[in-house]
Amino acid sequence: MQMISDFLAIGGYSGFIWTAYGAVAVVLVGLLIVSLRKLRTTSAEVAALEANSPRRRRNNTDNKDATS
Amino acid sequence: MIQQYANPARFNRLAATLMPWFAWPAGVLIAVGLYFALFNSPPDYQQGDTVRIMYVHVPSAWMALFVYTSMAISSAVGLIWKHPLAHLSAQAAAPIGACFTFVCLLTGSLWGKPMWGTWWVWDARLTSVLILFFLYLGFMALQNAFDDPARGERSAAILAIIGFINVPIIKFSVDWWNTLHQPASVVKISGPAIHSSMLIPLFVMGVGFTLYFCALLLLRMKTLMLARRARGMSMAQLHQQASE
Amino acid sequence: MNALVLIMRREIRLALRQIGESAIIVLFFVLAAVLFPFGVGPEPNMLARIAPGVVWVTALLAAMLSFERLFTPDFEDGSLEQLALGPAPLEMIALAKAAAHWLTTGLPLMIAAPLIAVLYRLPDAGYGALMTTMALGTPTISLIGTVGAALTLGSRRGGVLLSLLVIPLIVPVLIFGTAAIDAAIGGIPVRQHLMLMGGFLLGALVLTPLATAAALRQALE
Repeated sequence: MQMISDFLAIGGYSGFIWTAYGAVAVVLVGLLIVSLRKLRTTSAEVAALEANSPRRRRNNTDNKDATS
Repeated sequence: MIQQYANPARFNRLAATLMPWFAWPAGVLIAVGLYFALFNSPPDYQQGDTVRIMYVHVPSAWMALFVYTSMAISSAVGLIWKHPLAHLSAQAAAPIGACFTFVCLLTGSLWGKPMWGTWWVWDARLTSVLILFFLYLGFMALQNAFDDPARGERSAAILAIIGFINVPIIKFSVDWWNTLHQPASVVKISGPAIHSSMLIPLFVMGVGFTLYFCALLLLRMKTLMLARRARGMSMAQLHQQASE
Repeated sequence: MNALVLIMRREIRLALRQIGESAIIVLFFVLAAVLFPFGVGPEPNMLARIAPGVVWVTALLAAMLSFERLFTPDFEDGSLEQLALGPAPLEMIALAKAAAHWLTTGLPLMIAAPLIAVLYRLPDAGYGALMTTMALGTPTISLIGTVGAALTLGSRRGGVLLSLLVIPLIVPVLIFGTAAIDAAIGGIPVRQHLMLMGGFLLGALVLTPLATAAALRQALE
């Protein structure tokens, strides 16, 4: 009987403990995911811009070729 | 201006070499720390099982201070020596520090409720950590408040240095004032006041969190650098379009 | 020193030309303080209990409203650049700005404070401490607010941002200001609180001009 009540007493705290660990996990993993996603979108953006500028330059030269 | 942030290639190489040395040990140490903290450490003779919250609360408090200190140092380096990476590192560190501070406050609150019977008390330690949280938010807000990003980062850097006054206040608040928050029991001149069965998981978690911070810092710095590059490139293309 | 007086005289002359702004700040202070009895009820004991806190908090909020325009007009019409190029160091200009701000905002707030204390039936023992803490605290607020104003100079949403930056830094003044008044009412010695507030003022006097000057320098860069 004593053991059961002891267990319940700790069980009364387990809500706090699990919430605390859960919150830590959510925040730290969430930050990691947000940072990774930001990295991915930004590198995609840079890649798009990079793909954009040489093509434009090539177009320009094409135009020049066409006009000359 | 963009050219001044030269050598992203060198930074990327360095980051790529360092990253696995931070990321993997961080994951392993946090996993080991969690195992010890949740299953293989003794309950406290006074606080029972709630002491398990300590293994995330105390390391995040350390990180909150450590990240702020690193941020203030990089800000100072950025302002004094104008090192191109310094502001970037402060800027990348701020959200991580804010998250650690938030976690510290939240877990502290969840520890305080069963132990002190209240979610929050207005004592010196808690209040000064709350102010630290606001300083992080202020830093980030100031950083983004200007049309010229260079202006924002310099302004925020000055704020970070001013706010550093708060760090020793937090550290010593439990010694200077009679607070409900317990005084430091790990870092003491007379040696730590807690048993090694608790100290070891605490340190494992602390080192794990530090490595997590380092890995995330590199990742975020890389992102910021790419974002800067993207901004520069789109500006250049706009100019080109305008001149055509 | 001469430059300090000259700049201060200029600042005060400018501020006096817009005396309406100071009056509005004080009016806000009184109005905000008058709101509390409607919110918490007019029970005299309760009002006397919260009087020190209400006076200090509303004074802080009123002061927050006044910082946004501290450097902006000078920044926009280029006279800040003129001042920076002049012979006086920027630190001196920062100090003069803070002093002028205190004379035109802090001092009026300080004069209005006992009026609100009367409305709140602050016990007689508290008035001495109220005026002393105000005398020590309002200059500290002016000094710290000057840093905030310089940091946010030219930013978007300057006013709100400024409050976000300055309020956390001002919290100690609030804590010890109200604690001193509470101690005086309770018959406990207030010396320690006042010494600490004096320490804040001296520290701010030394450090904030440096920070303000650094912030202005990079704003003008």
